[in-house]
Amino acid sequence: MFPWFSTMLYAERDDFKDLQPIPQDEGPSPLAPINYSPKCECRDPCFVGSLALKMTPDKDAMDMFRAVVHANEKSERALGLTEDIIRMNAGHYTVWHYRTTIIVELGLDIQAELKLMDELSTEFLKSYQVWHHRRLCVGLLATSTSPFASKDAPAAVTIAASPETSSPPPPLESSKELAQSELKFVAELFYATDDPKNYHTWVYRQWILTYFDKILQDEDRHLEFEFIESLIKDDIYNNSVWSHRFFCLFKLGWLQTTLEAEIEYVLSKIGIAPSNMSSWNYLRGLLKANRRGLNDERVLQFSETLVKAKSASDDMKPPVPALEWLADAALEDKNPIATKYYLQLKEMDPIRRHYWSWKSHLALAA
Amino acid sequence: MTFSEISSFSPTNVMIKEMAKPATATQNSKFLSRHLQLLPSAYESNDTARLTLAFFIVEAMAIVGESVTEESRRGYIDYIYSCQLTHSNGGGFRGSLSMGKQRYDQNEIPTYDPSNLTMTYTAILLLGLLRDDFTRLDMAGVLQSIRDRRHPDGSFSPTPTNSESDIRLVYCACAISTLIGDFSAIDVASTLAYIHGCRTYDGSYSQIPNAEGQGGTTYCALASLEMISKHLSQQNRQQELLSQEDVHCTLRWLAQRQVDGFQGRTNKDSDTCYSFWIRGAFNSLKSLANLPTDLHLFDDEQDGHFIISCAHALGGIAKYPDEFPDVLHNCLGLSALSMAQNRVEQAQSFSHINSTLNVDVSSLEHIHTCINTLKEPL
Repeated sequence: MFPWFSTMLYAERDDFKDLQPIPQDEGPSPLAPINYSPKCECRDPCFVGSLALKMTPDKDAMDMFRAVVHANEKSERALGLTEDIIRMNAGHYTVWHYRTTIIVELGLDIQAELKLMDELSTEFLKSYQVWHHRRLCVGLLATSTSPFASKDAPAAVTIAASPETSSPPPPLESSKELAQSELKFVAELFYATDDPKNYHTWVYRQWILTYFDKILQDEDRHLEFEFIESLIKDDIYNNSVWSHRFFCLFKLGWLQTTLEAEIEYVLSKIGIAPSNMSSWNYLRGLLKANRRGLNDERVLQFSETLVKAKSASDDMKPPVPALEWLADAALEDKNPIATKYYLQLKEMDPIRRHYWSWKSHLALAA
Repeated sequence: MTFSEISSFSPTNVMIKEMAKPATATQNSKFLSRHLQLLPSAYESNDTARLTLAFFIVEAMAIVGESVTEESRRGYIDYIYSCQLTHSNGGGFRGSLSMGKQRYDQNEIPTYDPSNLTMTYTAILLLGLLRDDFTRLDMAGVLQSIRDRRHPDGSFSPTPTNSESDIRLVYCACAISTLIGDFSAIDVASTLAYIHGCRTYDGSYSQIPNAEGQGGTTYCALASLEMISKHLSQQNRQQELLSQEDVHCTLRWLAQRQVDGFQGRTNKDSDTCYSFWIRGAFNSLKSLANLPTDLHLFDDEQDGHFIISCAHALGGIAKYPDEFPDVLHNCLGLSALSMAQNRVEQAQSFSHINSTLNVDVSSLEHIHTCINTLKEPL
């Protein structure tokens, strides 16, 4: 087919010779112009410092892209050009949009596009566009009556019409395997990229779970909790996993447990890492979601034990969040002992001294 | 600095030796003027967002008390307006002329060269920073461009062809509306519902509903609530947008974020930009919840120390210590220093900033004065 990744300039390529590249014309006083490299492969790596390893779009490809858009050409070579630019600048939303239009208008293989996204999502993990495009692909694959796939209306118009088309229609029953393979892909990506806190990846996983929720089965839900458990085992301080557990239990409503059992679960994790704010915050959220205050007997008793045990040993300070729980619970009860706790916290956690002072004033006034 | 000097600019060697030195204001000015004239090619992937990059540079200049020459000023203003689309072309500002065309035919909507909500927000701030008189601003176009990006759930997307939408764009829509003094393009009820949907169990706000809370998105949510609240009270439709319980929960989350500088999420490393986002979020919350103006939450000395440890020997502030600087972290680092200036010696001469709109106070006053004058009946 076409030599997408040729080192030859587009302006010199035979397969593009019928198009006249359109250079960027910015008038007499361009503001903060960018020093485009003539061709990314031959750049001095020192020049761009830490970003040198990242490929950047060269002027040549952008000049040809302008020519393609000007001619409104939807073709396989134009598709190749968009891939070339995306690999150099994954954040170029116009290029992504043009690519989507080509795929839909030419009725190209979405499965192949998703396969390409496997590679690009790994490489450009932090690009908003790559994840957004992946969503479009999955939405198209999961529905047969997608407005995006309509051949009657020009695709650009359908997609561009209004933001109301932002989420695809419900997935077909038959797309369960697609959902499962997407979940598997994301799980593997956390390990492959060694970035299990990546925001984009989590947002995407939660979209998959939400979009396919109705066709997922109990065993899929069970697998999700196993996945969460394995990530917590890997890094109990990973706040994203705690947030995801909350999402599954309360936002998707996958309650497979009682409040008491969930409190015990969190306390067992706090036992492992007593100063881990992620699990303490989760516990607060858990009680709040169940319209319960901080004065939960079980948690109070647990916090008191922690504070006492640690205070008893000479070299160890009691964990701040345990004492904070006692303080906030006392404040909730308008118990004057709260002031004493806050002043103690002020000593223990000096970076937040202004905050603890303020809390102690609130306690005095209560 | 000439083109060839910039092309041969190689910070690698100098870096290792001089990393520990704090950057002085002069070094920062050099960093800024170098970038304003020609951005290194590392920024290529941001070409569609160039007005935003320019904003970070010019705003940083305003903070440290630098200004551009009269000749450049006029040229830059013309360039910014050449990025504007008229009302009949969909309105708003593009990030640059990277699609190669300045003007389109009457009533032509350039599908592949649309304006971008974030660029419209930064274009207006830039024009204010450059002391433009705003007579060329197509106000109807700006409003149209907000409306066209509005989703039924109250969120907004950057361009009409892009269906991704989140709290960052809600912030841009609210900021533009505040700057031009016109909220008619926002459906306040649905946007409030969207922001509340982004509230998380720990008191922070996420990028889209139900996701993990984060410092930048918490800033966007609270600053938007603050702007909406001010708009409502101007209309005598005052509402309590956050319960007392929610206010305290969020204050607690904000206070927790300080480790030396600030982290964006629980158990993550500090990063200079969060010194701005968390401080900004706190300011907005104070205003929203009528908390005492003298309420302090943070250790300003430690934060100042962290930010200065991220300053590069050749000027510019980086994300982390021992990293290369970039214009975003430089600007937000300076803004944060300005907010902590009573406790940070190096920042005492810095201009005051309005953290809700992320611009220095005098530029904001200039924008308000110009816009109000334009709105007065002749």
